[in-house]
Amino acid sequence: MSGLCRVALERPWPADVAPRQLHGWLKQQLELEGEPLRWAITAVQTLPDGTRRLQLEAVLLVGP
Amino acid sequence: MTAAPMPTLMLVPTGIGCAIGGYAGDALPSARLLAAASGCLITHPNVLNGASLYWSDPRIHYVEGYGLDRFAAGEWLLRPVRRQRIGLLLDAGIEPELAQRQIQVAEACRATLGLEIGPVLSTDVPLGVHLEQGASGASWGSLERPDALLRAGERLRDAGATAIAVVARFPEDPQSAELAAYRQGSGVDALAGAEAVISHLLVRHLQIPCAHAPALGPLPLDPHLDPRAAAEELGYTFLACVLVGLSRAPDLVTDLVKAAAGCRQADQVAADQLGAVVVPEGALGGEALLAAVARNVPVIAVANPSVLAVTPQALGLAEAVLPAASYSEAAGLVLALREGLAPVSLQRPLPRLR
Repeated sequence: MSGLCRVALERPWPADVAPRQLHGWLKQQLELEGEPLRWAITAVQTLPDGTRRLQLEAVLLVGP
Repeated sequence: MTAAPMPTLMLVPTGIGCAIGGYAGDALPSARLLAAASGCLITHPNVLNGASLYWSDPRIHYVEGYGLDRFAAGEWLLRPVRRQRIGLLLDAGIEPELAQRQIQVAEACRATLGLEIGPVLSTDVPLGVHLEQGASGASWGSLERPDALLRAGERLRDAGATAIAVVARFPEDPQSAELAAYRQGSGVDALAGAEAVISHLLVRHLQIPCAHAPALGPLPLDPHLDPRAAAEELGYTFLACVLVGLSRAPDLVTDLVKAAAGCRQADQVAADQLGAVVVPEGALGGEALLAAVARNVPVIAVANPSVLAVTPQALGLAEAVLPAASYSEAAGLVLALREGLAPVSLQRPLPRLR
């Protein structure tokens, strides 16, 4: 079966992704790394230029 | 006249040190209040499990976190049942005496509460649970042998279990500063993140209700024990609440094609029926909450400090979220929504229409 992998990720929050679209967009981002088992946004950082970065912590299923 | 029940989702994410719900089932009074206000509360074991203490309420649906995420995303439905037959899955890493304690709790729940429990089996190898902590301060964890967990779960399901209580041996350090802080009411539950990973894995794989209790040796008496952690010091195990919770946990309906074809039973609960979701104001980044936001479910954000600060403001949701200073206020908002009242009409000043 797949193995478990705990990851911490940081992603810029695209301006064209509305808050209501975050669930689907973040799942897509996580699926690039593996199958998300349990995950959450654990911090939101606003940069001086107004852009935002999302920090995520997750446990993924990876491998065959 | 009483308004019809309004399915309401209550989330207190596990392992983030919430002031209410970050300890031993200490969000249970809030859950009971929200159940009374809504008539139908869907919540997860972290909210309801108080080790030897529990509260059974037919208005409360006990749904493990992975199933809750799938429910909130509209991928699974919940089907209330009269009872579940609970298989007991023990980690082979549990010492014989401690394993016997778990079995005696199961026997007590059969004899004293009338629960249907069995069979009991052990994994073929120890699960090897590890505790970890994220940069945020949230607790996480992993296990060396997820394959053994899933094999044992399959054997229980094939033997007729319709729900599974799993008990894994957790590492312990009675002298650790983190444990002392938790017992005195100022820390994160270091076990909670690994517990969630174990139950998520089982529910994902078997698609039946599952929940976890850790196996740990008894702790020395702490005269400064915080009341919120006290429920975990009453007995030798943390299992009774899990067995009671699972005994009437709703089935997880994963075949939405059949449901959409007209076979959906009247008593099934779906995400599109949710009238509100209640969440700590700094914990809006979990999957179930984000899925609810995507479905335009009203969000009530309660002041309930934790190690996280993923607030409505941080997520650009301040205009859309109803703030509540306490779970008492949140219950009032739930009742207002259930009665069809616009929450803004209860506030002063009342802004003019724009």
